[in-house]
Amino acid sequence: MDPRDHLVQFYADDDELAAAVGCYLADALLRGEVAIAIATPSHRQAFETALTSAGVDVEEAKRTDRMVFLDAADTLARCTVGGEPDPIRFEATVGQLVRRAGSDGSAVRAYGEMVALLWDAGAVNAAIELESMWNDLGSRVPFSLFCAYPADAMTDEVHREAFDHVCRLHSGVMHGVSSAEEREERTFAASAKSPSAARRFVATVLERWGRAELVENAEYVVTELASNAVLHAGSVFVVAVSRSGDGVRIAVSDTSAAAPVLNEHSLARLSGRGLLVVAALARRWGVQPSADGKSVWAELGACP
Amino acid sequence: MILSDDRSAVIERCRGSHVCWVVADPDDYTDLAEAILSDGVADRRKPVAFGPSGSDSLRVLADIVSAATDPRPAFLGGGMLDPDTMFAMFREQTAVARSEGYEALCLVADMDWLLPALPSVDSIVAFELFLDRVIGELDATVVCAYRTASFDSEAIGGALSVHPVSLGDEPEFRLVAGDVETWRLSGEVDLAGAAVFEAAFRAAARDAPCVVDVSDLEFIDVSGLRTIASVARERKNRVVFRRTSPVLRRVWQLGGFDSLAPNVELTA
Repeated sequence: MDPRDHLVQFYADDDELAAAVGCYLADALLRGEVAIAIATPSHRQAFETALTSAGVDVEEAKRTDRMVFLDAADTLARCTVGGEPDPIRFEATVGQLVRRAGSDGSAVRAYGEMVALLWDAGAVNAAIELESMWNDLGSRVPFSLFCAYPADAMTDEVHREAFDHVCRLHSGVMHGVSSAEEREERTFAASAKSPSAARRFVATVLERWGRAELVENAEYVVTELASNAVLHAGSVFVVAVSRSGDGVRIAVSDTSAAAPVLNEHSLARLSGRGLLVVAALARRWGVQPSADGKSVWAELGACP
Repeated sequence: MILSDDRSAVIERCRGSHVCWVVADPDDYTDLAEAILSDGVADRRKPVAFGPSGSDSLRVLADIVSAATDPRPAFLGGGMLDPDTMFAMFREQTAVARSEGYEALCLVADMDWLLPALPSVDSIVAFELFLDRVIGELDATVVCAYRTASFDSEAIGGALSVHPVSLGDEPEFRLVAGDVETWRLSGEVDLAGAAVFEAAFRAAARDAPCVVDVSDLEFIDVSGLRTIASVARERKNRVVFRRTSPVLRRVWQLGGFDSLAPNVELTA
């Protein structure tokens, strides 16, 4: 996970959320990173179960402060004054927490639901404020952030515009850039037949680069990312394959943030299980918002 | 489309097969239908035509077939498409044909006969899937002609996916009858065929246990696996996928589908 990745996930149901977040947190812990989860009590319970299934000794992780669970509502209250997010209190609460977690040099991953609580309560402006405080913190302290929103929170115009704004907030965040020696890209129409064409494109490139052993996993990764792009994109999406260290990076870019087609159907497709598979097959992955859309990328290869 | 193929090659592909013929140009129908039926006779199969009652397609073929019928009253008398009624009819008619000195049936069906029933894609898919199973048993030639003027692309896509042979477009995947009481899934299951795959698998999963050979399945995406898991979980019957690839088994596990649907077995 890139130190400054900010990942946004929509989930159709709690099972998918637990699967995706469980994976994100487990990955952190198994790599020796510190994981922070600010969530509702029932979600915290679900995450602990998911972590246990992933082979994490949750009690040990909590006892040694490698896994920090906080209540979303409580923490939110401590970051606000009169219901409005306050930067000083945010720094004192969340900022301090993140700095402390990384004080021994460990990488830090955080998952937060406070913004989602504000969306739910209809406090859209407050939600955006809080997002930008997270973003701000991210520009001063290196950590990776994962935010999740219920799929049905984004179905009306007001929310869509606000989400647009949130996406654009991240354009200033620094991301690790792969030093690609070679890169090939192709543009595809936003058609149901395109994921198949994208698979063939990726397979051809990887075979030409002598990385045939990555083709099977790459076909799954590009299919998930391309299928999501088809459902959210304008008229086209771009698949780029590049070398990244001793691995390969597959990135799918679309112009969705400009005019997102956020309806129940398309959000449900951005399933936790698809993301789970991508996350499990990739050694690193992330979302990079851009001026006119976003790029979702995943790196394949032997683990570093 | 198919008229650019060598005519005899087309007829040979139809012989003893269950074929989905996409008819884009109505003028194509009579010629090829006649050719298939004549070949049927030469091959000791009893020529039969289906079509909407009173239609040109039945009238024109009446002279060269032993029976030209609208099967709707027989198949849909009860209101719903009933596979068992259909099987019984085919078995009975095959027995009759054999008593008349034929070896099997050769049927060309103008599927417009289905239209008054306002068939959904799901019901077309289920109907053809089970028809495929009974045809295998009876060594019949059955050519189902779906006119693009009558059926939308979703319905035609559905029909194509559950016939082992097609004249016209090729479907992304196929789910058809395999050996006794099994199914064969081949091709690629992804976004393009997602809705049809759900309809087809749902129909196939009526078997208990449901056994599917996937040796010719080239790819199935996470959404396709999700469909299998959801249907299996609903039905609670044992579902076995045979000849699965290691990557499929791995992704099934990574996606958490093994816990979602523990009644699904993936074997090598």
